Amino acid sequence: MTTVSATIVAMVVLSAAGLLPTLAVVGLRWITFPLAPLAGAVIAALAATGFVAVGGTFMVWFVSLAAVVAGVTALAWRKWPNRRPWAVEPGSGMSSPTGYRLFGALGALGIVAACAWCLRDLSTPTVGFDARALWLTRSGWFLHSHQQVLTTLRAPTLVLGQSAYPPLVSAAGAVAWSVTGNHTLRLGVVVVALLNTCALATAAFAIVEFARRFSWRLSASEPRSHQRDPINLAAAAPMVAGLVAAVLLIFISFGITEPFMTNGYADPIWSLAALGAVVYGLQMSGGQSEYGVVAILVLTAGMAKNEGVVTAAVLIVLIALRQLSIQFADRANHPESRRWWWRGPIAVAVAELAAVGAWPVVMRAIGARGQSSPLSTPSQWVSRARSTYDGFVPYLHVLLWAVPIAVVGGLLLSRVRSRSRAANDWWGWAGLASGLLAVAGALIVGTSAIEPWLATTVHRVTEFPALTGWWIVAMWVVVASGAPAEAARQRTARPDREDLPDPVTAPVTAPVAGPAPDSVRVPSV
Amino acid sequence: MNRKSWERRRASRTTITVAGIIVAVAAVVGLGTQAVSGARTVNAQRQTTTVRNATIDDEYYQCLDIQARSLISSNQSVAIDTANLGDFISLLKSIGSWATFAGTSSGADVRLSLRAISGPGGCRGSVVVADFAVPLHGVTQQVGTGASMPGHGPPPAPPL
Repeated sequence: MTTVSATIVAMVVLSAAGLLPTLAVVGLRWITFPLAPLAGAVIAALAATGFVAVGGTFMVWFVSLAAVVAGVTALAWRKWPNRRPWAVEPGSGMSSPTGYRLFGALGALGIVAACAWCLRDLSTPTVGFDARALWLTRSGWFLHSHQQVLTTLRAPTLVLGQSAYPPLVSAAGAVAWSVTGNHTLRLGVVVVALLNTCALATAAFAIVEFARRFSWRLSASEPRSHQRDPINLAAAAPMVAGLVAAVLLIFISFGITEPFMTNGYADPIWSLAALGAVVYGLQMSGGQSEYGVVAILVLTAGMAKNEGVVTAAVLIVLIALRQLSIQFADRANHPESRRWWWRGPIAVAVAELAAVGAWPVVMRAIGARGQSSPLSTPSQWVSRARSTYDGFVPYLHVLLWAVPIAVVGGLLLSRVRSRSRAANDWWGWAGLASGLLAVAGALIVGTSAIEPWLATTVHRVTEFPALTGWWIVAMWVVVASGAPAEAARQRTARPDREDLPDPVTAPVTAPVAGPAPDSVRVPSV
Repeated sequence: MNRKSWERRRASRTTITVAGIIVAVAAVVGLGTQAVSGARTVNAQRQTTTVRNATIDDEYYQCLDIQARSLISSNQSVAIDTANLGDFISLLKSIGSWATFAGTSSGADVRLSLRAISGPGGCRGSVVVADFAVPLHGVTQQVGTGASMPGHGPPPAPPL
């Protein structure tokens, strides 16, 4: 089978495995398409974990897990018919005027075109150093017998401690090789590049989606005479800005992550998936579908690389905290809400942490190479911290742009941001800091010689904070572009239309709009 | 609404509008500049030198892979000589995904290493050498065959 046809088959298999759970937790949206193969890759990573921990064969685990997840999804839809993706009723909160839906399609098209342009790099037959030595080497290990994979992961003669790193990239490669019979590194590299691009497209589409909702919200609060237009031109500015920003972000992301985006490394996928988790979990307005996206993305990040494990763990906690704060605020407005309102977010966070932590626990349990990591002494921390700072600075120049924009925006545009229903900007910065500190912490407390370590990794380990910085800037572009329309709206404000429910995140049974007293204005949490 | 309050609200609206325009323009300029730089990075991956280096890299490990396959069968356990870390990595990158590794070096049926040679038959000046734990047809050491590649030394290292 040629690389092209094998890639198509591999992506179809990964997507098929991930489609039903993605539909169950996200619903039928544009981002369902890039998320399905990522969910399939997560299932492959869980299969690798089960295979190494218990036995059997990797592919039996993969097929069985995919079948179990699909079965559970079917049972859930049978029990709760209103949760089926096709069960959204006309007139519910999910619908929006045709013009706005068309803009969503345009955004998706722009993102796909930009990704396709950047993926031309795949015409260069590059296989990265680590991809050849580690990530795709392990794909072959997962297709060996259980006893052999244990021997290979333990054997001290194989020297490489990194072989105990989380399995997602290798497991996705193993699925591709197994279902196509094409055991080439080239196929593995192309599949990993496409998974990276799926994570990127998902994160970029968040900007389009956020902008579209903001425009609709601005338009819906215009005087009725203006609402007769298919799209209110003044209120459409955020939508246009969001589309432009999303396309620019694709080029920015490829610029930051290349050549590793298309040569089989694991750094882009954890960075981009964690970025998506920040955008959907800590920057968007929140909602059931959004947290479904977050669940897939944090699992992808946490099962791809050690840095991803730590960052995903911190993000899971942050996102749970934000969810709890939203529900707490909501509870203050709706005293009749459930007594155990806090249980859902905590249960989800615990389940996500368990899934992300499973592979490291299994590696420790089987005594895999590279499990003991000695720590440097506190007296070395200062000099190592200084070197780390110096190493990071050239790759984080985005902060020189993002910080002033966030400060000016936070001081002068907070009302507009609140109106857009974006989260308080501090959540995004907390997400950025979590990834930055996770990587910096590993460099500071590790024992490897810091200068060569930085020289060979710093450009890859700073991908996540650099990308998050640009997404923070993009969110401000959308918010700021709505400022003139929001200022004009204040001139003709209609208090009864201040608090429209979120068009996508509102419960499907909620009315589209309804009178709401000023006292229930939702704070920007 | 009294005049003072009205003027304050008008000033506020003007501030929001001006701040919005400034922030949006500054942010789009930043995004646009970085996107142009990103597009250049993407194009750099398709330059002739990059493509040539990637091709050489691929051919080198393919060459070692073929030589190793001429020496070992899939049911033989293998250890790679760790005396030279560079050679170890090269061999791991060539055979790591399909070879059956032994738990210990002494327990391996075959120990593989690289040896520098001059003349034809090598992969950029190296051949794969197999040392058999049990002599095979009276032979304890054999040199890999089936592929060769001109040049000397490992290919240009790809970015780490």
